[in-house]
Amino acid sequence: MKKRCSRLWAVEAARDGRLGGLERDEMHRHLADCADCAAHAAWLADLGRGLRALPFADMSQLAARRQRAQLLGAFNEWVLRTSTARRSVWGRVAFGAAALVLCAAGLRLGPRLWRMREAVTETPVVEVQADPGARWSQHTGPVHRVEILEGEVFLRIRRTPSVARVVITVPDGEIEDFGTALSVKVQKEETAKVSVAEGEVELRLHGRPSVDLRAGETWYARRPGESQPTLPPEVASAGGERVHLEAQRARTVGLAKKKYRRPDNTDVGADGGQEQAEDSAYVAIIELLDAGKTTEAQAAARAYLQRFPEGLRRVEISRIAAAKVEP
Amino acid sequence: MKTDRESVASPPPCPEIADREIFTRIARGEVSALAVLYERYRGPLFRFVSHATKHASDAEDIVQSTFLVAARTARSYDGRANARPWIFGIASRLVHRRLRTRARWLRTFGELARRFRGAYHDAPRHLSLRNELTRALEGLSEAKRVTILLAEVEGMSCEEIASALRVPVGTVWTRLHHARLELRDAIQRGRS
Repeated sequence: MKKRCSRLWAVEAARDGRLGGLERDEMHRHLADCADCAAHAAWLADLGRGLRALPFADMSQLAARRQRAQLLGAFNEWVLRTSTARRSVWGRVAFGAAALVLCAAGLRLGPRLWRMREAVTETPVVEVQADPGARWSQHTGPVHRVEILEGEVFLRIRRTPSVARVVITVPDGEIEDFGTALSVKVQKEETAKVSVAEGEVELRLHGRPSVDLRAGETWYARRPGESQPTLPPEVASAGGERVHLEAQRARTVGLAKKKYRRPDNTDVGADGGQEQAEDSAYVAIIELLDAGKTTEAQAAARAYLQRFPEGLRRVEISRIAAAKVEP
Repeated sequence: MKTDRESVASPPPCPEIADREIFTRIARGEVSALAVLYERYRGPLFRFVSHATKHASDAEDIVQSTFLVAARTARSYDGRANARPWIFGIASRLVHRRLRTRARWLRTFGELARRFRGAYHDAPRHLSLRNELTRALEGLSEAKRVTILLAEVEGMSCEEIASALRVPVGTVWTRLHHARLELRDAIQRGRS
């Protein structure tokens, strides 16, 4: 019987990462001279390729989407269940005492409470106004979901005791509501714009850090190489870039000009001088933020606060200066 | 240690969110983070479980259960940058449980099982090499089959496999060696 090479074991060892650098190099040199080991290495490689090429019936896209929705729904229910189950014993006692008090009050106020309940159930949790052609749906439950597939949709959300959370689902993520009126635009299965009129939301999209948006703020998805969105005509005619930047944040020219109006009802920047310098400084900070230059924007914000301690925008600028910058 | 195995395509890394960060967010209850994890690992996980269990219907259930278990135990994630050993480890244990249940079912319904196995063995003998390899793989014990799939198909290192399966790395080497020998013998028997 033909004697096989005594180093056959090392071929497998090299494949499995059991040899150090020098040993591996030496093994590779040996393969060039040894037919046994070279054949064994080739066989192992063929086996690996064969295993990787084994056929299997993958899930269809529809099945995968269904499974994803079921999975996320199940996890969401579990999160809600476990968060409520963490109430302390004293919490339960306090809850029981409060329940007794409420029962007693309910007996006295029963008819009035019944009328209030009817009023609450008549008011929808989420009022939706959608552009023609928009595709969306709503799903009620402890977590109220609005799914937007395409188009622009304006939502006004009212909190009720029976609805713990309102989540807006878009093809590439979700938006958590914290008591708001907002509009969401989806184009070609990607979120293009989110604009908050009241309250605040957390925007969570795949592959991006989450973003908090407050009233008056608008988020645009900008693709690489794309320039700033062009000015709508009514904004361009209203006086240019200063109003445009505020309009981006407030979504309408009227609201933008209102925000710029001083207590004595004069337009900001109209008389030049101190006010114009303050406006220019504010606009410069917003431009830096929109360009993604957060560090420079924060430096400019601090300079603004030093220069204009009583400035019109000091509250907003203080928030920008104090915000944490993500690495 | 570097291996001589050909590089296997892994899920494209998301430069903004590492696996570690995803698990941190899942532990906070963020559903969207679980969606990212699902998109990243569903394909390779389904492939692995399909080969490991031999039944497509089992594969869908096990994949879903794997993600749910991973999400519920996210707080105990060990913090490493790559979650593949963690996730595939959960899947391996679920596969083991499913196969054990199935074997118990077959033992309980003995006559039905014999008829089922008989029908399987009456399949035509003129099989392609790929089918020979499939049958050879199915003939391995569950431990060896899972180990060689993780190594050769999923491209995991022996250390990662040891971590996933919670066995010593020496056990992984041994299983790989015996799995390869048995596959070679089974393929040669099939041809002859």
